[in-house]
Formats: sequence, C-alpha cells, structure tokens
Amino acid sequence: MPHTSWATSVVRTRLAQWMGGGISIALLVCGVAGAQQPRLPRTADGHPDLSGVWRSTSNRYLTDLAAGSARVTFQPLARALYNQRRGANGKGRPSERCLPRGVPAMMLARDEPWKIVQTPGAVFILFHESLHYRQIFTDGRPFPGDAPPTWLGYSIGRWDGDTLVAETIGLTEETWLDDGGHPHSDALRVTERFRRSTAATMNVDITIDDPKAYTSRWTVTVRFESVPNADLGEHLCAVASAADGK
Amino acid sequence: MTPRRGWFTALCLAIVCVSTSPVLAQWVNVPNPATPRTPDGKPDLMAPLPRTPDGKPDLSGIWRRQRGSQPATGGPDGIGAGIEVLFQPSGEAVYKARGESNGKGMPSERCLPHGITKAFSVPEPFKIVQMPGLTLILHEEFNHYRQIFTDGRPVPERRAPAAFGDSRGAWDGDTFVVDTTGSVDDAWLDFRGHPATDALHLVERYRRRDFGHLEIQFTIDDPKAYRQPWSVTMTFDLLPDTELIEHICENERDAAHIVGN
Repeated sequence: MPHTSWATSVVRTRLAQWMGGGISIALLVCGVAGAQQPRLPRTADGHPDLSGVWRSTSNRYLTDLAAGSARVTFQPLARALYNQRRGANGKGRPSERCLPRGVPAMMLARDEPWKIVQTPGAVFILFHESLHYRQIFTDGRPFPGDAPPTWLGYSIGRWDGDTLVAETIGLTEETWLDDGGHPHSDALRVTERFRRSTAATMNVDITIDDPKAYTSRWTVTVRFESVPNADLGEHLCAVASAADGK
Repeated sequence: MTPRRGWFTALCLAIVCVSTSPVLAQWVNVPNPATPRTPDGKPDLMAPLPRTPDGKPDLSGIWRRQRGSQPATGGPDGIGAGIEVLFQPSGEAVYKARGESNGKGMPSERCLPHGITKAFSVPEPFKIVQMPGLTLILHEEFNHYRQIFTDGRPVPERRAPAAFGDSRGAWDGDTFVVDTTGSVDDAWLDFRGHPATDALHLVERYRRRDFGHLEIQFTIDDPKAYRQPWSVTMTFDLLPDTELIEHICENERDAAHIVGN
C-alpha cells in the first residue's frame, strides 16, 4: 500500500513557478488606468453592483472563522472533531489535496482574490484559486428538492434592500469552515449577506446555521477590499499523478 | 442514472476522466421562460437564434457536444481525425511519445485545466454567459471557468502563461471571434496528445445557427509545433431548461484507475 502523506503527495503549483520563472504573480494587472469610483455603483435595476475583484483584508477568519465576537457552542461530536483537527495542527484539510475549501472558507484567503460578475438572474463568483466558480442564482428558483452533497453547495440569492443575501445548502461534510478545522454537518446552511458599503469596501456577514454541529447559529462579519484595475490570474493546484508518489 | 451521466460513465471507461460527482437531482430541470417552445410545450431548438439588445447573436446557454459527433473525444487521432496535420519534427516527437504512453502525464491527470480545445471536446456541458464587455465560459468538468474579454482592453505586455491563455473576443458579423495567446508551453490540445507550445495562437469562431445549435471552429496556429495552421470544427446542442452539475476533479482518490503507463 502506498504510504505517502497528503502533504508530500500534493504539489502546490503557482503557475509562474511551474514555468520556472519564480515570479509570484498573484494578479494579472491589466494596464487599464482608471480612477476609483467614489460612489457606490449600481446596476440598471437599481441594486448595488458588487462586480469587481475582491479579497479578504486579512487571513484572520480563514484561520479561525469564530475569531472575534462570535460565540460558538459545539455539539459534542463536533467538539470532538474540532479538537482532533486542532490536535493535528489542521493537517488533513481538503485544500491540501487541491480540493475546494467550500463555502465560506474559499472566500476568506487573503492571497486568493475572487471576482464577482453580477447579472440579472445570477451572481457568479470566479476564484483565483484553482479556477473554480460559484453560481448564486437570483432568478427566484428554489433550492433543488434533492440536493446531494457537493463541494460548493447550492446557492440562491435575493436582495434585501441594498444587501445581497445568499443562502447555501448541500455542502459535503468533507469541507471545513476554516483552516482551523471548525466542522459542519450535512445540515449546514450558510447565509452570506454581501454589503458593499463603499466602492472600495464590502462587508459580508456570514451566518453558520448547523444544529447538528452547533447548539445555536453564529455570525461573523468579514471585511473585503476591492482590488481595482486588476483581473484574476490562474493559481492552479496540481495533485500528484499516480507515478509521483512511488 | 440520468442520460447525461450514462454517457459520461461510458466515456470514462475509455479515457482519463475519473470522477465521483453526484449523479442525481441537483438543478437538472429548471424551466426557463425565455425558451421558445413548440405548440406541444417542448423547447423549439430550431427557433431563430436569440439576440442581445445591440443586435448581436446571444450565445448564452448550456451547450453539450452531440453524442457521437466528430471529432471524437478519444480515438486514435484525437481532434486531428480526418485532418491533415503537418507536424514540426519536435511536435511529432511529442505526439508520438504521448501516444505510446497512452496519454500519461496529461495535465488533467493532476486536475489541472484541460486547456481550451480539450475542455470543449469532453462530453460534459459548458455554459456561456454573454454580457457587455465579457463572455464567460463555465465548464462543468472540473468546475473551471474561462474569461473572454470584449471590452477592448489591451493584451498585457507581461503576463504569466495560463492554461486557458489570454482571450479577447470581437464580432465579425454574426460570428464571435476569439483570439487567444499566452498559453502554457507543452500543452495538450486533446486527449490524444496533439501538442501546443507557448507560441500557440488559437482562433475560435463561434456561430449559433439557431436556438438549439452552436458550432465552434478552432484554428490552431502554432509554428513551433506545426508546419501550418489547421482547423477543426465541433458542434454543440443546447441543453434547455437545465443547469450545470457540479463536477470537481478528485483524481487523487482514483489514481489507481488512471490509464497510461
């Protein structure tokens, strides 16, 4: 039986390094000059336009989603799993194997910006990390009746005033809520309230509602900053091929 | 099992395409009020093509290769089947080596993106989202996206080579023409292993014939791999009233099943 730790069987590949250039290019800066918009942009239908490239202002919530004021009370099984993951220093999280961090963790890494493309019936989130995308449907459709677990879940959104409210269900229990190892069950419902307060700043209230893992729901507010005049490059993660570990 | 997955599974037996994505449900039936219908309520795939407010064809929709359509995804000649492909000696050597090793080492084995032509050659559908300034391609397979900029932004002078390159789109009448450069070296144009280098200039010509039918002509101009440009056309059918199914590459769990030697 092959005995290779996850850590060594995975090759994290920044494309620049892949090419031997050694240049860490996190963003492909397009040479389009343009002044930052002072006012909150809006779409033709009057909603705030969240479009643009964003990134977390720190890794604080990626490290520990419960950082700060959130009061987190575990159910016993979740407590045990959390302690086990902490005891292993976070080893074994899916992103080590190039698998998606899931919702909300995939939004939270400072070095992994993402881009919102807002259209009338759907909001698309394009990730620098692994070229993955999320679709948040705002066309009024309900959740699917049968929602087998997925890495990114099923997201539907609606507007509450100037706030985009996205709800996500159907997340595989394999994803971690953060790199620290906060677990979740198949009952997880994540609510993200996207509030673009200025052209340059967006706050997202993230509510974790998972009665199998936590005795009550809890909310944190994560701050994101716009990355103006930039677009996403490719940050790819390569799993080891069959021969690499031998 | 849905018909979509049935075909997918059959193909998996033939090519490197290991997956454990869910089979049922999700948003597989999402009636779209914009879908034109015949009197019996079925989607009218022969209806005229939709257009955006500026009069251009609207390519938006979920598309999938017609079952059994040519060029085949696999096959001994890949997307070069029936086409005279004139290799440079170095390109031919790479092509032969890849064939002899049954495709070992192709980027998708490690969950890296297929690249443009290979991503379109698979049976999984993709979604086109066309909007002013940007056209998105959302591939179901591997959950990868691609951006085609139509806002006139210049191609950057310095950029990291990318699996999907750097794409700019413009309209030529009713044909959407996409120019892509900036691709990674040592790429795979198909599962057979037709190579491409960093000199690749790929031109795609998208033509939506009617509501239900799309064709894309790919012209491969890569003087480091081929002695002359060559073209291949793939045709796609609209998948109405549905949604993409999440597919994440989990090849690390299935390494034992990957073909190649």
